[in-house]
Amino acid sequence: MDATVVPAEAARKVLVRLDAVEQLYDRKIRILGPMDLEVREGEFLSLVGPSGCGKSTLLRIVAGVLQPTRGRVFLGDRLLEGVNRSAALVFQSFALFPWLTVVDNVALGLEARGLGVHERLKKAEKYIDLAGLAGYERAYPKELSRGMKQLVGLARALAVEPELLCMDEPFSALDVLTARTMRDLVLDLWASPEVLTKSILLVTHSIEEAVSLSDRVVVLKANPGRIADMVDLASLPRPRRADAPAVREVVDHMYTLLA
Amino acid sequence: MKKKLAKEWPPLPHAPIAMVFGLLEHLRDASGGREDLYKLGGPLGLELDDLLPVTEAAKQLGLVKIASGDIELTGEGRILAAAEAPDRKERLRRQLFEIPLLRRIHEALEPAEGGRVLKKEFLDLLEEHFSPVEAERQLGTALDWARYGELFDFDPDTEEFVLPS
Repeated sequence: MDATVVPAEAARKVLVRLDAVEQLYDRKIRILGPMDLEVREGEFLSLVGPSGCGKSTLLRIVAGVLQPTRGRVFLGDRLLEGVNRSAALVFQSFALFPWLTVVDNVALGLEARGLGVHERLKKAEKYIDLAGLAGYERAYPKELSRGMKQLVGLARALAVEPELLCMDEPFSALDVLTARTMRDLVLDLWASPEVLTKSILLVTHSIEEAVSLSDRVVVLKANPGRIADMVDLASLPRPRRADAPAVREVVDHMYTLLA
Repeated sequence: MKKKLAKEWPPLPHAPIAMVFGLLEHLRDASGGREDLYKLGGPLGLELDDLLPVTEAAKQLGLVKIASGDIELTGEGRILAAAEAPDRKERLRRQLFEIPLLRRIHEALEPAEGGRVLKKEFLDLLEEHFSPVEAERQLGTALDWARYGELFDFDPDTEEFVLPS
């Protein structure tokens, strides 16, 4: 893959910047880094690699829910301290509240952001509609299929209109067909003018998934977690079919890096 | 008796509706909107217990045809696979009326006061043909599909099916 940097890409505002970040276990066992990483405005960035490469750790550092052992995290030009309020998270395990309906699960994050009840419902409805969940508002999580549960998680994250959506293996608990339609939906939402969130950070162990979705892919190696390559895919048009030669070439390159 | 009923009332396959869309999209991108059934199994990694309900669901919804080991989108299936979100919902809603159980529930709700009927009534009906556990599952799947198409909803406080407000 030609790694030419498009000037417009390089000039994009940096949302989150990790500077010489390291994660140690018990102060001596190196899990991750040291490494630098930028999440840029408007990009779909994926972190891909095998178990133990620290991809989820990196995502948690970006989201500010985990403090790196060493190094600094910047939000724009400010040092990030504590939780990154401009980011929202989607988890592999959905993390819904079983005793709340779909609409209440989606509206929940909005309460924490200080919106009144009317505004909360309006916004929740909007993102429920966009996620294709209209009709399920009053359903409880236990009544939903796994795919629909993940849509609720996605609607909940998008409803707070974060600058950055962080998704940790969001499709890996789903069967292949459901995962496929979810990936399409995420791309549609990302492209929709109605959705204000324009930057996505995805953690996945699927190279094919990273390549099918992302503008840039960070390929990570394990033990300790480190960057093997940063692949720019912005010039690869979507939708990207798995059997397209350009897609195959990038996928092969990434497998070769990790093998 | 049982045979006749199975004809009028084929059991709903327990496939989540999102998975049906995944199948349609997969077939849309397959050459000619058609795929060897076996390729949905091994090569795609679907177990039979996942694969059979989803193909059956798509078939009952009139979105695919299955013949001699192939699965192929119908005309409506092609349109739905290519449709954007709001249009997709509306089109699926129409297809849902093809399913006897869904149609039956919807027909019962329309004339009912407040558009509400106790779930128990449908359970009793289904328990003439299914075990209590399976009758419950049938209604669960019916509700999942019906909600997607906004055909009807369920009010857990009163245990009633209800037309959408």
